[in-house]
Amino acid sequence: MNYLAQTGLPSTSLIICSRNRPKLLAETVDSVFQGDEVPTELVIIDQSDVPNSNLASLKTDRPCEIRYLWTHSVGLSRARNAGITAAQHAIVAIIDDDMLVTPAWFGSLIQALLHAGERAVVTGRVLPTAAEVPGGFVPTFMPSAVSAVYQGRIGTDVLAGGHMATYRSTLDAVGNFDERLGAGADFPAADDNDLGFRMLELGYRIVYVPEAVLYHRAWRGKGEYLRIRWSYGRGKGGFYSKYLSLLDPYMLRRMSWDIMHRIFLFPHRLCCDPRRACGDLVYIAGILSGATQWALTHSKNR
Amino acid sequence: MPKVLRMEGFSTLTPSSLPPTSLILCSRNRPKPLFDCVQSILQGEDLPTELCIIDQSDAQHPKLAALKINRACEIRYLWTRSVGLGRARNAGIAAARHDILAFTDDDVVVPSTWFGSLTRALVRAGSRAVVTGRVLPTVPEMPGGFAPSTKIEEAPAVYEGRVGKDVLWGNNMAIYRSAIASIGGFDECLGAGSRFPSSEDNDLGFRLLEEGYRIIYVPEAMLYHRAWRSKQDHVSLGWSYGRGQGAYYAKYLSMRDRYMLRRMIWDIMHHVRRFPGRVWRQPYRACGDAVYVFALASGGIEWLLTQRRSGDISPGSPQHD
Repeated sequence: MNYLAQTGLPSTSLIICSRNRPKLLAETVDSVFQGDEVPTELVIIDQSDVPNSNLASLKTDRPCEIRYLWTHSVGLSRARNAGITAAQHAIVAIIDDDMLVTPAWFGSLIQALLHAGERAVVTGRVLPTAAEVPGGFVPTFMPSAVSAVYQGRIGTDVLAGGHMATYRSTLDAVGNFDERLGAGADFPAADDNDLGFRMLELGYRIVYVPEAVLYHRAWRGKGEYLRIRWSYGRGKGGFYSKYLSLLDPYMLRRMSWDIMHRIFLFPHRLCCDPRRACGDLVYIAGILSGATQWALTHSKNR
Repeated sequence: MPKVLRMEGFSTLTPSSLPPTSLILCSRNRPKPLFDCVQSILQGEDLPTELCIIDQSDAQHPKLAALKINRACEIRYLWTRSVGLGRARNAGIAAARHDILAFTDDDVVVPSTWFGSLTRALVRAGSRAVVTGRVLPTVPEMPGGFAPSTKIEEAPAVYEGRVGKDVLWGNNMAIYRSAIASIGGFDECLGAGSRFPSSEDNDLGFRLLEEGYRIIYVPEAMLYHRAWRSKQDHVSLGWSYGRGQGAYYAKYLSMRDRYMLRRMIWDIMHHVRRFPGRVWRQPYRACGDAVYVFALASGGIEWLLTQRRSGDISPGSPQHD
């Protein structure tokens, strides 16, 4: 109660997962501590090859306990699940290690969750920073300035795993991240798509709060683009395949649309943005590859 | 210039005592086949000086961990949480104490003469060679059961240079430590359990041949690959083999040296050509062929996009995106 009186927020845990990006991680942590409000605890799950001694011994004069947990495990979903397990409070927020948050971000996100209630998860605006390297890009961002509430089968994926907050009770009911999906896994993306879909299927709402703004850093060089598109396609294909069913063609329709609309756009993009056109082809190949592999190797174990 | 030479005389090797040897046996979550395999090894006429069992199973194998025998073979059971056959074999190499290393898998059964034949052939061939033996399927252990990766030729052979195919069987081979150390061991990005789940032995064989080593096929060193897979497994196995083989091809693709490109095209065409003949008579194998070709493309693309920059044998480094 004292904490609520001081900050206006209930007790919260913020989880940041990282692997071998110590500088980006340190800057993300620094931006969190410069916020108007800070979480009650900051849980850092570090899957790097070696522990980060600076973060392990970090102290702050803000009312926030820093818990640095280094692990040998691999995979973003596994790291996030470890963070959820380690978190001590009933409200859990998650961001990535290559983000910079605005001062009002944390308060906006948590206030929105309190307002939305226990049957909701909130996600916010993700803007790209300026390119930090020549040709630098951000693979995913969400620029919309219009708030929205999503329920049921919306035909798209709206939950950003690198920018979300929810109640622990929600994760207990829906289940944590699927460790077969997400960076570092065989299907290296779409772990957040999968979580969002399961939440919607169980009747939870996804609330998009544009006031909660953070920046996704454009630190990747242009040489990374096709690799990222392949990884996203593989993960997305695995996600689609996980829910493919002839009795319920919803996910088949979504996968078909995801592929077909890129094929229709391909000639136009080839003229206007050849890199993106190539990325679309690689993404489609990744979807087909991921979906086939999931169907052959994981379909018995949903 | 490919050289495939007939080898005479290996069948008439005279038995003799063997030098110190380490037999490396890797396994993951197949405790019963592993135990059967170990039993068959220990019933051999010749035994390795040590048997290194690298077990990547979820749980330890208590019977093997406590196994003792009264023959001249030290059994070393090493349980590890690591994943991937390439990684397990490299762990076996690191753990092995002797200069002659032999490898087999957990789903084989060896006849009593196997180990002696394999090791004597290597001693005769010398340190610039690797020896591989015959791999026959057992009778199916279920209706439609099959064993992949068999080698049934009866004639001995010596391979040197670019032979246009893969001739080294990772489940039946012996090599000097100096030879495998000189080329850096198995590529841990390849092999069952990894992202590219096969072809770690093809990759090792190719690198050995490129470095001037010979691969010697000794049909007398015969073992049996158990036919425990069902006919439905043709499809998932086609995927795994295709992904690994595609990555292996992509690892060596170069516009200046089109050898591996030619091999990849031949491999694809071979599977495409035999597809119509199989589609009615052996539909699962036909599906496996189709899946293999698709997976080969998938593995090749993924390797080019994600692994090419490293170009070495170090494990992949999954990133957070």
